[in-house]
Amino acid sequence: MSAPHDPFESLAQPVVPRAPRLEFARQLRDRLEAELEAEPATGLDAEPGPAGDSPTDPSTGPQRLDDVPDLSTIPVVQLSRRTAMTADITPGATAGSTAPPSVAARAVATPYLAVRGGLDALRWYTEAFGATETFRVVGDDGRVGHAELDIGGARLMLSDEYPEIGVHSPAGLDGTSVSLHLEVPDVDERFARAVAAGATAVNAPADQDHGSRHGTLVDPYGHRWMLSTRIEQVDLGTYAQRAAASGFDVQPGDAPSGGAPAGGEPGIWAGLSYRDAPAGIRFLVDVVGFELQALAADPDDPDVVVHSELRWPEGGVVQAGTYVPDNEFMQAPGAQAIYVITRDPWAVWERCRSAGVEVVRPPEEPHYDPGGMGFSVRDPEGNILSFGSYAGGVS
Amino acid sequence: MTEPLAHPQSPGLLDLYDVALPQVYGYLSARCGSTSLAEDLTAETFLAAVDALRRERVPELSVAWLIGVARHKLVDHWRRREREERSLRAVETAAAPEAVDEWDVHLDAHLAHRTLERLGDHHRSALVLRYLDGLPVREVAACLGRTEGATEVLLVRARRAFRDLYETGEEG
Repeated sequence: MSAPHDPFESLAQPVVPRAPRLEFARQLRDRLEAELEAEPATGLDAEPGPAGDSPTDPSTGPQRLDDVPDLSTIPVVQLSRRTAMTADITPGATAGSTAPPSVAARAVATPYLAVRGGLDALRWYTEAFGATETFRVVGDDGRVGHAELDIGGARLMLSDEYPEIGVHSPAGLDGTSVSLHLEVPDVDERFARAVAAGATAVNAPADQDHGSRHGTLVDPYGHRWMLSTRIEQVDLGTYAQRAAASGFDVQPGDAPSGGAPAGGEPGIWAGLSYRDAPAGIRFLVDVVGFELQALAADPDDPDVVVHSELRWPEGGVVQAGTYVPDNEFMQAPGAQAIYVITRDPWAVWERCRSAGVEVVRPPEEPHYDPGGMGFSVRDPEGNILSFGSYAGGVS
Repeated sequence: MTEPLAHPQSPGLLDLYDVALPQVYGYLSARCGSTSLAEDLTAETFLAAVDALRRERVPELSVAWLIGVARHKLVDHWRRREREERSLRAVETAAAPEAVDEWDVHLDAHLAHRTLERLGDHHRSALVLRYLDGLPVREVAACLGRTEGATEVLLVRARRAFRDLYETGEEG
């Protein structure tokens, strides 16, 4: 009988030499020359390695060529990132976090704006749109090579125009073919603020058939924005009727795949009950940062909230309502707990802290989310709300 | 002012650099699938060698020794990443793996490498050391800091995971 065929044996991969990039080879050689010339760092040689535990320790017997030193006793050498050699990297305002890329809870296509005058533009978007600059890379020619902005949870990237490599801005093209649709809490306020800061109004905010209020403007760098606030929930049939009157035919498509729903998609909505629901909802909106997108009150008593939908700007919906003891679907206030994923837990924490909310768990770096943050508070009626940057990842 | 003393061994590494660099880089780039990662680990390998030379813990400076250092750097990288990204791990099948199944296929090299890239870091480490590098189980165990028994079990699981992914092809 012959030995059974083991397909894994075919994976054998002897070392095939391969030249790295010349620039890398040169930089590493320079680095090694510098390291070899430098005095050994104090304490490095003084620190005795544990005797006898290394394969290269003479006391352990004859050496083999591929034996290696016990690397756990060698200090980790921190390499500077390649980009740092040519560019100045400035972390922006993401408090408590040094990691520039944010964790997206679902696949996203991120708009990448090219602008003429990147540094000015960063200032403008910060002022006019209330953006937070989270990351900036500036070249030695003063152009912004890459920057990231967060506008109410929406992430944008931005750079200066680089016509020499085909990155053109609207200023160079005399127009843009892509509009940016941005959901904002109050379209009228945002629109007025942007126009006051120098944007050109195209269409003033107006109610739309599909339940949003839209305003369109062009910013000073030539980008076209559609600012939008949801004002009513409109089901597809209603929208189709309204649109038909304007000569448009509405057709439903397939449900999108994956991700946390903000409404209109299959998913899980969390529920919270309150004895004083209006106060609970005010807390969720004013302190925590939810956006109220629908509310149904008892016609006889406006303080009794039959149903509400509170949208988390980064995705997901919470329903809050007045606790009715004999409603079999409801638990008493204080019995509920929810977890809210956010890219910027420090911002939420700051709002909670300054509002004097009762803290159940102060901000901490969870062991399952290195570099992340999570915390928990109690709402006015005792429900526990946890917030964190951890967005799943168990594979 | 004193002239910095040249380390007696220091010319050795630079003399070897031009020969060793493509070997070390070739070893790493074939196993980590990303230029920037291969460059970072190559740099870490040579800088660790400088350090080991200073501490006079190098038996004989050679390409083979440097590739051994590179192997440790690669495994350390996967271990570190696994700790960072997967410290919360999906529940592993509780049952001990069955005895190794016979699996009579001829692996497609491209698909095999894509499959390795999709494996968990602990499984990939084990398979790369055992099969790509061709190390005996005893040396795989030493590299991973596990007992030989634990390494055998890990290899069985890794082969199983590889096979499952390989057979589902490129999707998912």
